[in-house]
Amino acid sequence: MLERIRNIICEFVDIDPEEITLETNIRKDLGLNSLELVNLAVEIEEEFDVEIPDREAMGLETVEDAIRIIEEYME
Amino acid sequence: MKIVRISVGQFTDAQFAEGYLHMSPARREKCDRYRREIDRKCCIAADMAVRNALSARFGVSPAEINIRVTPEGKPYAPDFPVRFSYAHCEGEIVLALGEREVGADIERVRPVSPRITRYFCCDSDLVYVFGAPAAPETDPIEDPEVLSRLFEVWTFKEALGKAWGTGLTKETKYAPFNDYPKYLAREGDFALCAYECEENA
Repeated sequence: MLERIRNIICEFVDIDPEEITLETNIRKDLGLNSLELVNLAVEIEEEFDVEIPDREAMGLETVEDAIRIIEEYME
Repeated sequence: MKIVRISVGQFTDAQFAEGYLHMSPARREKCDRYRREIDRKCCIAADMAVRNALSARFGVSPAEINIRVTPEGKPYAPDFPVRFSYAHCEGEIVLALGEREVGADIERVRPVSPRITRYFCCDSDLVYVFGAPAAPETDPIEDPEVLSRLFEVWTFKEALGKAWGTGLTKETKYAPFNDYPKYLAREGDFALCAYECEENA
């Protein structure tokens, strides 16, 4: 799952996927602004066939958060 | 409310170096985390814009201005009776200053998925953007006029969230775009919005 999320993130920022870890802060470390974050949430929903509640999507901080949210709403 | 527009291209490397030194440690830490040089320069330029605006208005040296950040990330100058908000996008910066809480946003207008409207558009916003209370299936949206309206709403909701100190929330989503007075502008590829609260919280 980390690999798939890395690939999605790399669509938004020019970065070596290997630099993206569970602890990577999507806003602060990768510099994604709010619009990019929303687009990222949409791409994650599409990739994993989940629907992420608005509140969760806007509160997305780290890659680990993204994985937790995906796993929670995939069940 | 006063709106200030600047671009990173207006400043020299020496000015950026000086501006960086004037920033608070917390602001420098945030600045240093940006991966792209242009975002780092935007961060410094925005800080300089705030200092220059306050310096011009209150007659103090830009270096002496204390800028702090709330736990929610909203910047403020505790020693001055003015509120401000700034945003940057790809080298362009907008700064809003007012007597009450303000929010500002700037974004480059570009094709986007209609699915993003779920996060910030209420039904009346969708009617304004698309002419119907639902986003179209066409993905991405490329119609220039539709995009123009969509980015008006997006930058407004961002500015509103900043003014309220909440960011994008359910409350900003359901705050109808057409119900609020605001400053909107389109400058080339960039849409920008500034909003001042009608009264302080």
